[in-house]
Amino acid sequence: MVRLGRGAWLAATAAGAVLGILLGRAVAGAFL
Amino acid sequence: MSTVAQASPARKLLALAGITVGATGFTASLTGTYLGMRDFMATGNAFCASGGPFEIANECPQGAALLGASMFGLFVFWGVYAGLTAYTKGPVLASSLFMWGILFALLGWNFMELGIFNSESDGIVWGWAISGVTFWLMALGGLVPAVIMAVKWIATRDEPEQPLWNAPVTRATVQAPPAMPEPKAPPTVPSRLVLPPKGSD
Repeated sequence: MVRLGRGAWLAATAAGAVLGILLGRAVAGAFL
Repeated sequence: MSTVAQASPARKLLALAGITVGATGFTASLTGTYLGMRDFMATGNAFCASGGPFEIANECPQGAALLGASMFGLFVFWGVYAGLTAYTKGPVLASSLFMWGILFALLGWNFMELGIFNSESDGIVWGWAISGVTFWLMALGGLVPAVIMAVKWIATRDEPEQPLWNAPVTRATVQAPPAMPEPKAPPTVPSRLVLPPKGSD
């Protein structure tokens, strides 16, 4: 088990969310 | 199995990278589901098909493929994210409830916008309106507890959690004490006759 600080966990989640929106829009743009 | 104290920086970094990948994949899948659903609702037909040897009356729009792939991605990347959040002792339940809530809120908005707030439509599309209300109610079921948990999470900072139960929880049934024999009352009449010694008068 690994214990992460709250800040690190939140930063990873927020960075993933922003990247995901950009990636999702790009992929959807290629599909539609 | 290593303990928390023995976690190496490399392992922490890998866990952080995994959480980022999980969040990225989930959000990308969510975006794909949202946009694919809109495309399917706006241009598609409820009954459609693609591929195969037969002549197809209603070809599925591209949004249908995007919708299917994205819904699969939602499950996979939620698993990655929740698994690694649990591995790092993060808030698994609160984050999962938030993901559930935001998913149904977004998909519910598609139903509401195209079913009720659509200016091009003649009137309310009741099937979509009812679906939208249902989806929003389902979203509230996730978002309300997630917000409550987040407020508590912020308020406690990094302090250790308070114990849920202060009093010890007794699981054994309490047995009635065994019946004690009644204490003997002192006799009211002498049980034996004690004669005074002779010549005591």
